Amino acid sequence: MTVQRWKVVRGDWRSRLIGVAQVAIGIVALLGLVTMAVRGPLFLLAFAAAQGLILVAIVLFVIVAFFSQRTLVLEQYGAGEEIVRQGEVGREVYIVKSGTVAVLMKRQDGTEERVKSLGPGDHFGEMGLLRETGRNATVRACTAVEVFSMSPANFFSLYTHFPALREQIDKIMEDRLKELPFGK
Amino acid sequence: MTEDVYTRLFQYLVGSLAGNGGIAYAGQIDPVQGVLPRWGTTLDWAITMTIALCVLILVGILLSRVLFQGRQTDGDVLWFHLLTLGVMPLFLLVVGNFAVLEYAKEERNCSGCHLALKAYVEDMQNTKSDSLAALHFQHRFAPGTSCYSCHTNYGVHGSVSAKIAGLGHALKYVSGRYQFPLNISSPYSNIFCLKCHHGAKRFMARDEHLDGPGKVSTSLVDDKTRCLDCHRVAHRVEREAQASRRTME
Repeated sequence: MTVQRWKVVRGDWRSRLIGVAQVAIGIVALLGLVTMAVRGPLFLLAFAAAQGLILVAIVLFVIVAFFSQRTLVLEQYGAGEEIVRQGEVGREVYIVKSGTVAVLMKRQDGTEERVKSLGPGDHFGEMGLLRETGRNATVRACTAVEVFSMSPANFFSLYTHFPALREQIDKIMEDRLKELPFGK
Repeated sequence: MTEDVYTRLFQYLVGSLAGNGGIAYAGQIDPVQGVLPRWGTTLDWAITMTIALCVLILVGILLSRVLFQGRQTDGDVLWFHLLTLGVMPLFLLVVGNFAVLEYAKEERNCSGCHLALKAYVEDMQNTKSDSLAALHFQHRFAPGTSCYSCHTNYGVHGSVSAKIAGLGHALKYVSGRYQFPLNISSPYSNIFCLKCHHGAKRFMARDEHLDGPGKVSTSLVDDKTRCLDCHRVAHRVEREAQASRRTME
């Protein structure tokens, strides 16, 4: 089976806005280079006029940054693809929307042991974030999987403001720690 | 020794990018341009920094398109975008505008509109001309920025007005919406002369300039008597020559 390297669907409008911002800034930078090389009245005028594009691009970037921090991002993975890798630094928290993922831990001899499977509604990634460690385990898609990734700021916001949710997450984390075969 | 090599290399780089002769920036005296600033002028640095920022931004954008393909809105990639789409463009906004505005003061910028202003610059640089522009130029009152210095009012207001007027000139030049003979937009005010000459020893020594000891004539201050009424012509440019130059070119 062919596994696509990147089968990740992100908020398209945000990527497009970033693209527009990059084109706008690119035009200004290119014009700046030519202007400083030629220094003709036409180019000086054009460069001065094009500065407005910088402000437009910055506003677009701020919009994208704002929404990227405040919304869930839907990601799609093919079967066999790694979503997170053990030992990596990662701060996103994932919620499984559909499909099944396997939580795998490395043994001392380098082989992987399947610790458990997670399905729709389950979450992972919070342990590394809350304990400020790297990823404790590798999470790999068993089937075609859709997961929501949540930014750390967004997760902490929920974790802080909803005590019931916090208790539930803490309990799940405690259970998982007990389940870990290699005493993480 | 090593420091000297690095210094020269750096100066060469700045000089080359700013287009002012490069190697002449070793603190030497240039036979044509005279003493050149050892580390370049503020304008040289502004131009160099603008070029550097433009290159960095372009490289950054290209890298992000290649390296982060398909994940442009990831948290870590957004930090990279913050550099190429936020911080560096903001610097470019400041430095680039500064470079453009500083360059706008230069005679070479004014003479850039060669069709329209070439005759004026030629007269200014003519050692045999007795026009006020030529005399000021020969005495190097404002090396490199003669046009700007004599056609700009006091302070920030003067600079801003001159830049706005300059934008208008550039637009007219680019769109070809100007007619010969060129005329100054409003009568040349004495204030342009007085901003330097007021209080100057030679100026204050002439009774015609004063109402009383140390008091400059209100007639001059109020533009009722014009400096140009008594002093020689500002620019010796034949209006017919301007017009014929336009048809020739």
